[in-house]
Amino acid sequence: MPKDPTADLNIEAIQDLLENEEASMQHLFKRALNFYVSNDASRKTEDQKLDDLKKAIEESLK
Amino acid sequence: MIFHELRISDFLVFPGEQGITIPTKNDGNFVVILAPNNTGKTSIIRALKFLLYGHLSGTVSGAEHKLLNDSAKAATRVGSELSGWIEAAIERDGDRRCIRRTIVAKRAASDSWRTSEVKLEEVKRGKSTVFIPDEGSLQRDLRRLVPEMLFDAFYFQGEPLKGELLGDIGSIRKSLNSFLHEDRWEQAEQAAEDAREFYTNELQKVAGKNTDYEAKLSEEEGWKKQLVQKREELKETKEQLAEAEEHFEETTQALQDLGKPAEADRLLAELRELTGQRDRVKRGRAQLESELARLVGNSCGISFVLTALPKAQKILSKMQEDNILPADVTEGFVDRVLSQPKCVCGNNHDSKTRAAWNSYKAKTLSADLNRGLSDLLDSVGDSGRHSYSKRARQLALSIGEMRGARSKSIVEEKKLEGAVRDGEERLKTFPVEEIRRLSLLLSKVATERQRLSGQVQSLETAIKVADNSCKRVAGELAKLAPKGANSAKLEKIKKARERAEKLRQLIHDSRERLNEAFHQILQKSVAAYYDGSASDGSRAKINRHTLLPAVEVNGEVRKNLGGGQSQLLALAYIVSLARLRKSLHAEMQRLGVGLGKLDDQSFLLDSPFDKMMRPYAVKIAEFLNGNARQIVLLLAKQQWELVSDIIDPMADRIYVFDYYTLPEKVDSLNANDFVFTIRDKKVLLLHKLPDGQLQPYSKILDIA
Repeated sequence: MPKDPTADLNIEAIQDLLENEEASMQHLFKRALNFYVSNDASRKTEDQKLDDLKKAIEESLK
Repeated sequence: MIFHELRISDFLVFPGEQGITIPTKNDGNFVVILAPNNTGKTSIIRALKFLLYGHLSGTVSGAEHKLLNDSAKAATRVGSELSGWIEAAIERDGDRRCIRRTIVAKRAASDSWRTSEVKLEEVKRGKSTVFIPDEGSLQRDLRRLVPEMLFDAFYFQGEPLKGELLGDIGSIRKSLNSFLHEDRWEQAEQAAEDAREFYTNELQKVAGKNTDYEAKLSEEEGWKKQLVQKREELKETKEQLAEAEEHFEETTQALQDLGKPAEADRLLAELRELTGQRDRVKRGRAQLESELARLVGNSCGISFVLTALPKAQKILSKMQEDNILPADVTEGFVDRVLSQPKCVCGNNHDSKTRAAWNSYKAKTLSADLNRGLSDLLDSVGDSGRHSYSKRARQLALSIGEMRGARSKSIVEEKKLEGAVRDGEERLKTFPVEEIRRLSLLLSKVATERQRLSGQVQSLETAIKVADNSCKRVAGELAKLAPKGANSAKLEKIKKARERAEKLRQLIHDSRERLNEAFHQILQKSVAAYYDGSASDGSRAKINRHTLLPAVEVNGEVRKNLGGGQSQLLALAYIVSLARLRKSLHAEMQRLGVGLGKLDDQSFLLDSPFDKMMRPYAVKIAEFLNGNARQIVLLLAKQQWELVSDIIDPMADRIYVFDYYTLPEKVDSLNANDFVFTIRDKKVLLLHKLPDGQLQPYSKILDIA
C-alpha cells in the first residue's frame, strides 16, 4: 500500500540490548513493561502496579 | 482506524438517515466528497469526533440536543422525544464492528429542548438488530485507536492539528508522547526507580541502630543520583554538540555554495511563490469587497427603511385596531348595504350613515390603497414573505460574515506583503548580504560548538568522580554491613535493590533506543515524501528531541512556509507517524508486550488545498494517492477545480452534498458556486426547500 515502506519500525536495537542480559532479567523487563506499557496498564492503580513490580523483582531473584 | 461505512441520522445539517460507504481494499482507497461552502463539510468531522469521544468543543454537557438536526426538531411535537445518531462500521482486528453514539432529547416546550441521554453502543446486525450498551471498554478502545489529542492530526480542516504541527507546540509534543506510548515507558522507568528507593528504605530499616551504615547508605544514594543525572546531561549535551557540528558543516557548505546560480534561482522561486500567494489573497479580498458592495447595493436601503418602521408599525396597529386594515369587505358589499333601506346596525340609513359608507368605499376600499396598506403591513411585520426586518437580519448576517472574512484576508495580505518585501530585499542584496548573514551565523555556531565541547569534558569528569565515589562507598558499606541474624535479610534486600536499579537502567536504555529509532524512521520517511516534492531545494528535518517536523535550508529552519509546503510536510509527517505507531504496536507484540494490534489509519481531510498554488496542490493530490490505506477528501468548488483533473480519475467513489435552503436565499446566492463538473457532467447542488419547510439541510448523494 505505501509507496515507501521506510516508516516501519524494527526493534532489533532493543532486542540486542536484551540479549546481553540473563534470562531472568529479560523476563523481568517484559513483565515490567506489561505492568506499565501494555493495554492492561490502566486497569490497576499505581500502588497495585508498584506492588506487582516489587513482587516480580523478588521472584526474578529466586 | 479503517471505516467501512459512516451513517448519520437527524444530526447537524443532515435530516433523516444518510451515509457514505468507504472501500477498504488493501492498496489504498480514495473517496471524495464535494460540497459547496457552508453546506456541512465540517459537520462530518464534528460528527465523527462526537462519535469517538461523546463531546464537542462549543457544546456543553447536557446541551447535546443542539447537535440534533433542525428540520427533525421542528417536526417533533412538544412532549415527544427525538433521537439523532452517528454510526460507523469499522475494521477491528480483521473483523467488522459497528458503533453508534446516540443523542436522545425531549421537546419540553415549543422553544425548549432537554437532552435525556447520550449513549455509546455496539450494533450487532443479524436477523434482528441488537444494541449492546458500552460499559467503558468500547470507549477506551476508541480512545486508544485514535487518541483525542491527535484527532485533529488525522481528521482535520485545512492543515493537520490546525497548522500548529509546525510551530513546535508543547501540547503537541505531549500528544505525540502519548501517541507513541513514550509516557508509559517513562512511568515504567520511574516505577523501577521507586522500587529501588523502597529497597533502600528497607535496608535502612534493617540496619536499625547502625548509624554509620545508614549514613553511608545516604551518601551512596547521593552519588548514585548524581551519576544518573550527569549521565543524562552528558547524553543531551553530546546530542546538542552533534547538532552544532552538523550545523557548522552545513553553514560552511552554504558559504562555499554562494555565488552558484542555483541559490539565486531558489531565492527567486521562493519570491515568486510568495508573490503569487499574496496576489491570490488580494484577489480574494477584492472579490469579497465587491460581493459586500453588491449586498449593500441590493439591500434597497433597508437600513433606512428600518428606522421608519416603528412609527409605521404604530400607525398600522392603530388602523388594525380600528378595523380599517386590512379591509375585510368589498366595494360590492358596501353597494349592497347602501341599496338596502336599513344599515347593518339595524337602523334606517340617513345622510350621515350613507356619507360614512361612501367615504369608507372611496378611501379605505380603493384597490390601490388597500393593496398598498396590505403590502406595507406585510413588510413591517416580522415574518411576512417581504418582511423588511427578516431581510435586514439576513443581510446583516451575510455582511457580518463577509466583513469577518475580509478582516482575515487583510491580516493575511499584510503578512504576505512583509514576506515579499523581505524576499525582495534579500534578492537585491544577494550575495553580499547573504555572505554577511552566513558569516555571522558561522561565528555563532562555532562559539556554541566550543561551549558544548567544554561542557562535555566537564560532565565526563563529574561522571568519573561520581562513579569512583559509588565504588568507594560500596566497599565501605560492605565493611559496615550488620552481621548476624540480619545479614541474610540485608543481602536479599541488597540484591533486590540492585535488580531494581538494573531494571531502571535497562528500561532507560531501551527508551533511548526506541526514541532514536522513532527519530530515524520519521526523518527517513518524511524526507522521502517531502524532499523530492519540494521545488525550492528545502529539506524536511525532524527534531531529535521533539520529533516534530520542520523545513530547513542550509541548516536554517525556514519560518515562512508557503501553504503548499507546510501542508505537504504536515501530511507526510502524519502519514509517517500513523504507520510508525502501527508498526510499534506490532513490534511490541513481538517483544511480548501486550499493546494490542492496531489497524491502518484512515484520514479525513477537509479542504487540504486551502491557500495553495496549483503546483503544490498537484503534488499533494499525487501524494494522497496510495500513501495511506484510506483517505476521504472533502472539497468545495474552488479546490475541486484546482485539482479535479488529477483527483477525479483516481477517486474510488465520489459523493456530493445536495443543499436545500430558503427560496429567497437561493435567489440571492450565486448558482454558479453550486455547479460542479464531475466525470464530465455538470451537477447543480443548490435547491429550494420543499413547501412548508424552513430549515436548510444537506442530502448526501452517491454520484460516482
